Amino acid sequence: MQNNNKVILELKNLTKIFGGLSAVEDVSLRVNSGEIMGLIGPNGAGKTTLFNLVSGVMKETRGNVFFQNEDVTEFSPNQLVKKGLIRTFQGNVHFKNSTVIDNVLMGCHVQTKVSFFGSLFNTRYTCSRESELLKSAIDIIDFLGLTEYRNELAKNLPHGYQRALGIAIALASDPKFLMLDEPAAGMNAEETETLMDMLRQIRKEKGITILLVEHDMKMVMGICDRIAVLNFGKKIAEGIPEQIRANQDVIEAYLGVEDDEIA
Amino acid sequence: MAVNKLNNKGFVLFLFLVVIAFLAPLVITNSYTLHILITIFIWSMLTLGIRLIMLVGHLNAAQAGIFGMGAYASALLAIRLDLSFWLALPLAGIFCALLAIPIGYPTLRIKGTYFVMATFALTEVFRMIWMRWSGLFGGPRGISGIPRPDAINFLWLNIRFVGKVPFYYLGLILMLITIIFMYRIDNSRIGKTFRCIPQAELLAECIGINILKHKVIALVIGSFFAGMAGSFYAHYSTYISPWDYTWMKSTQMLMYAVVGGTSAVAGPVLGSFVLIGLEEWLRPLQEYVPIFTGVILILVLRFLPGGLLSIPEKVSGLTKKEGFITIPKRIRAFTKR
Repeated sequence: MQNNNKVILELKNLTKIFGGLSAVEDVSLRVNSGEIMGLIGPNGAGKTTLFNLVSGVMKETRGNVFFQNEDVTEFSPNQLVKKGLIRTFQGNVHFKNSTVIDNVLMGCHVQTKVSFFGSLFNTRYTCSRESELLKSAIDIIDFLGLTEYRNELAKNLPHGYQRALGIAIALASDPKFLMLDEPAAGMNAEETETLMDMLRQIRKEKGITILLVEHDMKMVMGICDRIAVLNFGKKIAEGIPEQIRANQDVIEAYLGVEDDEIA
Repeated sequence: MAVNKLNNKGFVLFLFLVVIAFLAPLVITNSYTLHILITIFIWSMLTLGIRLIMLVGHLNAAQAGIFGMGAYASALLAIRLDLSFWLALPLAGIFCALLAIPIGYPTLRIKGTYFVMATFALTEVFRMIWMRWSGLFGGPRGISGIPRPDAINFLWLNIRFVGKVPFYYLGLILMLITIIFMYRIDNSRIGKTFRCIPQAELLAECIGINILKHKVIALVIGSFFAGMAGSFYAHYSTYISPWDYTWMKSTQMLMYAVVGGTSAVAGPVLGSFVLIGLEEWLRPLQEYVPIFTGVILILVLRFLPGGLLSIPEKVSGLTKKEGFITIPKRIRAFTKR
């Protein structure tokens, strides 16, 4: 990689063993600041496990995770969020009985900086702080095109909007690094198109680095600067989309079925 | 009533009920009725505490044990150290709040039924300690001769704690403090966070909420008020024994909270009022009373999962938004600047 690119996330020999099976084996990976990186691989390749390891949801068997040159291997999810690393989940995960705006406000949690008693007695500082957060929450909602659903319960939203809400909650924490787990799952071509625009905008306007796991090849090839390929827990390839398309291992492991698409 | 913001109507209703409660002793001179009302105040405080932990997704069976710890702490402070009730009351609350920290950190890591079992066991452990450690806690005979609160002589106020009426007012004021505190929590960010945690625990963790810490905070607050209730109870009845604080009392509190409804602060108070009133009314049936309360619990769970609080919604056929949005007015005012 070029030297002018700053590495924001670095994985070193990351390994996770379940019983006798290694779900992730010796994966080393670097994500540069400001890029959109794709992580692909067949089902069961260990993509989600890798996500869980990086975001602190699971403990790694071996290996290290560095975020902005700091060893964050032992960090819990809530500590990582404070550092600026946030993830979304597969499927629609949000506070389903809360309104959209409440969901996003809850995402602002790490930014609150209001003490317990301050929030209890609604001090002047709390009010000004909460109103700032409210403004930024509304901005994020508008940014992701959820304006008309602002006061709707999260569970009543159409599917595509629920996915956008998941991203909105993540953005509310003002992250530097966003990890998306299959953001386009279950979306039609049109919705995927919108999502891709959205992600490009997030990178452009907010300067957020994105790491995404995705099955939709069209999306991954269209949006990612670089792609890493996992198979049976091992990284088999890494590079720009053109290189991945041409890589023989990848074709065998994953893309081989759809010959005409890679041609 | 899921929207927990007191609109003007709700506020007027609240004030109206408070005024009635303050004037009630002028009409009710029957000391038995007053005793029941005082009991309701104590149980409301306990049930409000248990509701807070229900909000973060746990059924706490240790509330009765904490209640007892508050009662014993206060009684011992008053008898052994000759402390005034007015000092023992907050100290008992603080003691129970501090006690909740070492209880909460290990137990709140476990989920669902296992938490219920752990807290149930804890209540029994507490009871055994009071029973066996006769030197300090008086064993199965308990502690008697707990002094009543000292008289208040302040400016034109001159209250002596004889008879039921002064205790009625003291209990009412303590309950109102609890209600107002809980209402403030419900409408602050911390209350919203409590409600969000059981909806999606992993997500909450991954947006930076320290779940365990928040659960412990909920337990500490609930325990503080349980301790105060215990202290008040000890000095009101002047006699306490381990039999007053069995786990059955915890299940009763849970029942009052569920029957009343946990969506708003009013629920546990309503539940306590209705069920304790009913139990007293059915008193002539003696040991058959739980049959009726049990049937009521089943009916409520089946037909009114939101508790008595959800009756207005059921009747009007409108389901109010469960989202507790409604940003406080003061914050909205700030946004406009």
